[in-house]
Amino acid sequence: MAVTITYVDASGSVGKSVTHVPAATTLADANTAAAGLVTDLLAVSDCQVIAYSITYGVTNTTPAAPAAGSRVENKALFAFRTAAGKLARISVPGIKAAAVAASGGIISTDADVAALITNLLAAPWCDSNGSSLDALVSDAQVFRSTSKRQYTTDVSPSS
Amino acid sequence: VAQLLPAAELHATLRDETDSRAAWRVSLRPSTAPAAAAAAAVDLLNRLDALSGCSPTGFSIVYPYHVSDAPASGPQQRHQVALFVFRCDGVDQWLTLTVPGIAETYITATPGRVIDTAATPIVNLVQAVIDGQFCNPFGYQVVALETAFVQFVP
Repeated sequence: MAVTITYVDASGSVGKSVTHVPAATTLADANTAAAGLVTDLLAVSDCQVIAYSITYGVTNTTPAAPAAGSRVENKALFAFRTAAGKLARISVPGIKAAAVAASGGIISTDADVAALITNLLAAPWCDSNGSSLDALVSDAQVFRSTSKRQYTTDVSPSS
Repeated sequence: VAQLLPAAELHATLRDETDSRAAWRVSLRPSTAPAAAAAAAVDLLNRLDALSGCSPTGFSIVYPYHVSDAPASGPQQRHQVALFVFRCDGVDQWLTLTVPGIAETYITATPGRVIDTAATPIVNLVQAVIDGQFCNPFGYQVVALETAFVQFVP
């Protein structure tokens, strides 16, 4: 798993360095190792270490083929009320047509939609402040870009 | 002292028919152990998969820690990077560790902008990497420092 350390220099520019610990390392041990490394890095660098993160990565080596006609821009957007009273939004790229009503809303009685919502309302999911997702307040189909790596079918690297 | 932020994150990537990628993020409680978080992520992505025409290609669980808001301790900019090359316990296995803003004190006058590996803080850093169960991206354990020099990274 990766340990990514973020630095800032006197001009405010941000730099990063990355190292790794074995995948079986516990989070507590990885944190101890990272904190020790940061102490020694601070002694030799003029930059300040402002943050680090520990990342457990999982790659699907045999991903299923995407469905014909799927587009990441075609999203379902769900808004949740959190325990702190704020809104948290979660989108589903490539929402299936069967889950979208003619009005543009999402069919919340669809079994797959209901299963996803039920899962998101349970632990461990929360918003970015650590507040739990308490209730779904709205849903809709939206068309939004997600990343820079977007192609039309005729310029796809696999075509 | 590093402080774990209020939420960890699940970062997933999905791919559609045109090979366009979507990054998908959901926050989770940072007290969730990595194995439990990974199991929850698989469960959630299975449900997402049932609802989306896109297919998940992988995910990661990120635990972010805040260290300090203090200003930089010296004038050196992050572009001056010390590159430490470590040998690992496998044939042709290496770990490179970069240190942005390496202090001028630790650069020798030797041509090639070599790092002074005899300086105590450098010795401590190298020892921390070797003793701290760090490895390269392929899981090979770090054994020894091979070389260390300065690079300019724009």
